[in-house]
Amino acid sequence: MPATESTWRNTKLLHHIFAVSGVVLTISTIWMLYKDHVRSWKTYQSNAVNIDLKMTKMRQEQYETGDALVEHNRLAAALVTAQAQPAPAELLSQFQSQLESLNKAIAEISQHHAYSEIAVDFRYIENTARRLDELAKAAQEKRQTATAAIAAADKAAGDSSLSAEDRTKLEDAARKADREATAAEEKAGAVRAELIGYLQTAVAHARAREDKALGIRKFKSADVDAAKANLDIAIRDNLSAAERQNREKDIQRLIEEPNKGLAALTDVYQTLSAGRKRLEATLKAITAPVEKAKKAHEDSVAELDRLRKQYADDKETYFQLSLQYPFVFGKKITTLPIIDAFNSVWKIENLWSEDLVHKYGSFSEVRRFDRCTTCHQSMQKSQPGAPTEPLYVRDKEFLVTLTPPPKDAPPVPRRDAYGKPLPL
Amino acid sequence: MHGQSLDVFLSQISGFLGSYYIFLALMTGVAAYLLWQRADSRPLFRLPGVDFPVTPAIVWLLVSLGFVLIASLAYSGGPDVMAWISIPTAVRAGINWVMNPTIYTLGTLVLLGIAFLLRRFLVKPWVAWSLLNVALLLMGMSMTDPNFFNIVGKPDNVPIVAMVFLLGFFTWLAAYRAVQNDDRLRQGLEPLEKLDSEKVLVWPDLVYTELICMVALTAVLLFWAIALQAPLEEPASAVKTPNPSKAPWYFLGLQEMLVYYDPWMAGVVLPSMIIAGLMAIPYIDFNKQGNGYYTIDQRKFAYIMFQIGFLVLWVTLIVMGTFLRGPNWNFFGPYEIWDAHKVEALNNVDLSEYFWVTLLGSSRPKAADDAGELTKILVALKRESPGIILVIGYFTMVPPLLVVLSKFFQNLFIRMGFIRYMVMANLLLFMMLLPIKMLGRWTINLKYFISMPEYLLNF
Repeated sequence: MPATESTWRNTKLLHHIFAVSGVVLTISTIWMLYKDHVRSWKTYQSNAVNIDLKMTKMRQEQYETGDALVEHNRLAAALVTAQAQPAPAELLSQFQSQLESLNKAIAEISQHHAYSEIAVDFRYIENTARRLDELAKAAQEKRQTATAAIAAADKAAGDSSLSAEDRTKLEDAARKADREATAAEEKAGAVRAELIGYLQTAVAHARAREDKALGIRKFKSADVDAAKANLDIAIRDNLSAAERQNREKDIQRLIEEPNKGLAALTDVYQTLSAGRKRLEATLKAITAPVEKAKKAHEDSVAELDRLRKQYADDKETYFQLSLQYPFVFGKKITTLPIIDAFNSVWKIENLWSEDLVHKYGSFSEVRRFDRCTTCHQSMQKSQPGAPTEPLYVRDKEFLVTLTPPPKDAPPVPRRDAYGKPLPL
Repeated sequence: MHGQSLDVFLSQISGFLGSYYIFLALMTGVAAYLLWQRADSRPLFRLPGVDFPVTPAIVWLLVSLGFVLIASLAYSGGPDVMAWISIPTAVRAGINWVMNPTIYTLGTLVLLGIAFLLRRFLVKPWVAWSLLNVALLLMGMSMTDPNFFNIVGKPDNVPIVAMVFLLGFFTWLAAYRAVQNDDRLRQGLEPLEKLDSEKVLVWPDLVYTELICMVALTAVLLFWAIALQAPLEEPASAVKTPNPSKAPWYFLGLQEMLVYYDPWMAGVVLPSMIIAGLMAIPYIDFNKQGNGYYTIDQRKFAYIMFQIGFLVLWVTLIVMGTFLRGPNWNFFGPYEIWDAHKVEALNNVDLSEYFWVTLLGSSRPKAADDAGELTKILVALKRESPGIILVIGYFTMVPPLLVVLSKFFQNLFIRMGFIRYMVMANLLLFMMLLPIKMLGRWTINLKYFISMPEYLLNF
């Protein structure tokens, strides 16, 4: 036990020293976090991300300019027009004859196997095709009328001899004609879709029969493989010639059995497959113009979609709403102090040179490392279509000298073809 | 730092060096102030004419001003100016030329002997303080040498430099207290530790102070980590070995032993003997005096053995491994450039070769290739018999020889008995094997006493 309750050291002094050392420790800890976190290269990387985001945004906006919109609308209109076209008669009749010959083959096959013919109402196909022809023709006429009305309205817009009321009337007429033409095209397009849908159903039925034939053949093929293995075992085990012969006969039987053998089943499958493929090729020929217009239309927005996705991916925020992990937290959370030690989006980039060494550290030859790209971001990016031109260049100043015209010779305004003064 | 001209190097370190001297100036200034505060400070002499008393405080004040002047020269960064605060090139070259492992190790041993004999003088505070300042001044003057600075200034080595000074301080402190206690004991007084023998409270006297130390040290470490960053090198590669490839500082003593001994001996046997020896101390130490207080006179033998084993055979080897061993484990002077292409003309000769070839003029015994295993073992034993006899004789004959020749060891034998005496003597002999082997290597290029590589037995 201590001799007394009094302390060896001055407790008040200890408190003061503890307080001071605690403050010093706090300052040193904050300074350590500051030195570790605040690095000049992070500013450059952050700027590089913002520049890339701005570039992506500007590229998106490029798609919202007048020219891009006009092109997109043109392609959309072309798609609607293509969808309103009549189905070529010769291709339809080719489809019908191919279907009939397929059904004939199925009828022969069904004598020995359980297959049913593909039930198709050819009259329905003909009626629908006829209806489509009529609607397409009407749509075509309406479109021609609309085109003429739009052209007249455009011409009237530049004709200063017409009154504003007349010009307005022509514009209204053009819009109305365009609406009617679009409605007619959509109506024709609906009927076309109905027809194509029916033809696709027929192809699907052919496909189902083909798959069934393939399944039946697969089982037989497995039996043949097992019989072949038995024969190999007989040879390996040096069984009697009679036994080997028996096993060979089994194989022959499995392959050559009429109607049920592998060869027969293969014939059935190949017949059904060839018939299905012919039908598919014809259908593809019928839908080719629409598919082409659809692809052109989708391609016109594909780049915009890609830029939108790229913008969403590259954006760095602290919080976000997402159904994917990490749900609420954004990428920028990883740049916060302490957290940035664990897989931060901003990193030092070490480029290690293989053969370039220098004396460092423990007086040995170590590979030289470069960290230039940590700050010098986007050095490797080039302008689209020009791989040797850097994408980002330093801004430069240049001098523009505007010489004002003399007082006694003022500039003459430019005029368009109609004499209207053009704005600057 | 590497490959730079001297001018560039000096301008780069001028800021640090100037601050270093400012720190020394502050240190000595504080010492002067504390001395001035003491009322019992007698003047060393009086200035003639003005009768001005020159006290120690004045002296250290002048030293402090001297450091300030040196700091101003250091801050200049100019090679011509800094030449005044550098060790002359001829002196540095001379030190490099003279320095080698033999002189370093033997010199350390001699210095320790002198320090022991003159301990009463050297532990005096003003003497120790003066030596410290001289050492710091010499280190500052050496730092203008790029090769020296590259070694001591490397962030990895800075704590080792600090530890050397700390070790010096604590060795002085212990010796100072020991001398004071020895003087008191001679006067029949109790040791200083017994004056304050009352028990104290764990909180706050022990734990609170420990907490404060922990907080303060953590803050110091954080500031240090920010100021001196570890040199990050390339990622480790299994196919690239650094040259020199050094162990951590606490294993450098063992790595130095590897120069003289087989890895089995240097890495396993001798370290095990160290630990076994430390464990055996309570059982072989019969001296009841010197427990709980510093003393040298009452425990001279233990003190000397400890200082030889620790300071000479451990710490100096660490210092050598850190600062004086360079590429290819060659020895480099403190101001010498670490040249990886330096080659020392060194040869190693086994004792058996000296005996059979040099002394007897014959070849070393060798068994035929188709000889039986037993024959091969016997031939190897015959070949290494000189070394075997020497080693066995060393461990068995030397202890009784010491008893016969030395009264001190006679007394030990009587007090301890046969078993304890033999254990102690063998532990001591194991310890002395290291300097003996080192001497043998430096003098006659002795490699192994016993060399049986066919059975992985080398000693």
